[in-house]
Amino acid sequence: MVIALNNRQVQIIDRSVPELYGAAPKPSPHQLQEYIRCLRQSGVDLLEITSGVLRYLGGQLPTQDALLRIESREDIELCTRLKFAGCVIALNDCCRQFVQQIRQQNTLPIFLEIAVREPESLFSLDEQDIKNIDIIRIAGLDRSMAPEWLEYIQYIRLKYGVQVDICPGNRYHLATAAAYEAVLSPEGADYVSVAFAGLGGVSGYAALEEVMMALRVINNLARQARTEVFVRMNQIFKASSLRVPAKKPITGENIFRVESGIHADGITKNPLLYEPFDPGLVGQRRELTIGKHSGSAQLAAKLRELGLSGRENNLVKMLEKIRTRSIQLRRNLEDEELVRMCGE
Amino acid sequence: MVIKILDTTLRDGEQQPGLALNADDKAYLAGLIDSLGAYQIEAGTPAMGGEEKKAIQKIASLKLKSRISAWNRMNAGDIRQAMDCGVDVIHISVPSSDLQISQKLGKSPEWVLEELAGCIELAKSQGFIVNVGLEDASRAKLEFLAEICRTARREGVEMVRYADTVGILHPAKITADLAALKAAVDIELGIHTHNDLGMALANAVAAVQAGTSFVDCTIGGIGERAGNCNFVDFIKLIQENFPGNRYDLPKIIETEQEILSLLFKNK
Repeated sequence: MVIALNNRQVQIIDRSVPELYGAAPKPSPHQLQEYIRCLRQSGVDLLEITSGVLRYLGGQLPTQDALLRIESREDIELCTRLKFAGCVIALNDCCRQFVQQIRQQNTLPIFLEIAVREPESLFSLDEQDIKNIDIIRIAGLDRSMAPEWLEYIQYIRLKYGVQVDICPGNRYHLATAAAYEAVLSPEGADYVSVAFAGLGGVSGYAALEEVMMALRVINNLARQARTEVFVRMNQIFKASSLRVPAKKPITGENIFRVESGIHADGITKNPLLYEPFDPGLVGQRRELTIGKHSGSAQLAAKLRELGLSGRENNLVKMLEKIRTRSIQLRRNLEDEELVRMCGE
Repeated sequence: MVIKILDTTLRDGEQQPGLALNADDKAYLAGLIDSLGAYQIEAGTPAMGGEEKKAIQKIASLKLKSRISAWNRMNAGDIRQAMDCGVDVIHISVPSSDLQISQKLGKSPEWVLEELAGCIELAKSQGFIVNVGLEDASRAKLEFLAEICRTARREGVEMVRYADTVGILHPAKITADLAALKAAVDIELGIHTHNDLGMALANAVAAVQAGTSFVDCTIGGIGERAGNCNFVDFIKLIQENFPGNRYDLPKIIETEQEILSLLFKNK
């Protein structure tokens, strides 16, 4: 699902498959296949994989939309045998050799990944490393904000005449914003590399689901993306003990719980008053919880939900009891506790 | 520029489902947050009454280094409750988007401006410092935000806070919006971000780069839905990029852990 904007096209690359493959416990081949199917539906254009992933799946994986990460000479042979969308080579001692060998055998697009901690190193690249490269992936620059990324993209594009892929590192939680604005800006990247849940690398990446939903919610783009698959992808991650925090944007299990009376009241009138998008869009559901901050309208709605309507004339008294009990417990009340309270 | 951190752990943070603090808890936590160097602590919502109002009164009585503010809806009833609490600052949250004004309140922009002026006058008549919050600013018309700012300035408000209530802001937009507001009205600005799309911190930093001096944070980034701008993560960035803002990071991280373990005790 290529994004076409401002007379250019941007493709989104996801790097999470090797991360999931390397988890402990490893997902089953069936789970990994299901995860990859979900990724393909989620709006991602290209998946980065390794030969290990391919072997694990018994070669049963279409590769036309995959980028093969080259880690050995055997991987180069794989590029010739199977049809990939491209390959990714990290800038290191072997990269010139690998690039030469690939070029001798085919015209596969080559991404050269350059890990960058400080921007200064971008300005001293060895031209010999850039020969025969189609795309430079700038990876890292965790501290850089979106406007700085746009400068680096322009610099690389003009100096080397290549396309640019950016893969911001997330040590300082700036990666999603950098990736999102690199998609949108007229001077932005040709490719943006992200990962589901932002997991991977030394400090994480921009989260696929955050970037995709930002494009959808803010700009009404990526409308064909089946974003409701994120919840299933999250489940597969959790099955492999890959921790997704409960308050993780888009996929966190607690983010659509509402306790505050003001917010709950607003959501009842129009959910968009206090929600950026419908929870169903990402496969989640809203949950009204009752606690210290709840109001009477919210309590009435909850009682109806629990089949306990008819107690509306006692709402004020109930709310007082709920607040007292909630503060004693230092948390909201569970549904069973509310039902018991109604019976008292 | 010295950045004034406005900590809202005890207000927006506590609104995170699953948290319910008593007055003693809140007072103790306020002391810890004060020790982190927060310029202002948003202690809670007095209109809730009961234990919440007691908590705010208790925090105000501690005479901490941080200023203490109370969050209020834009109505005289809320403001009178806040005035009872002895806080330093009364914050008035103003619905600023067409969506909020028409669907939440069933009113008009003209009504909002008139009501705001009346509420500010009430708070200032008793000598309180007043802050105004532009609720849902990221979906509001810029011209109307500027109108609210003009009203605020005219009535003697100290600071106007741009609130990204539903978390749909991105750095380029906040940069542009704040530049426009600063050009339109000379008033100190604040920023309140939410993390629904993973950009709360990036937006807060962009806002500072655009000239905002007050930045809302919470400990652990707790708050509604995907939470708010994380206090410690924000400090880590501004220390490096904005001279004049030095914090004892190891001590702050230690205190952050103490606060989080108190908040999530037995959970």
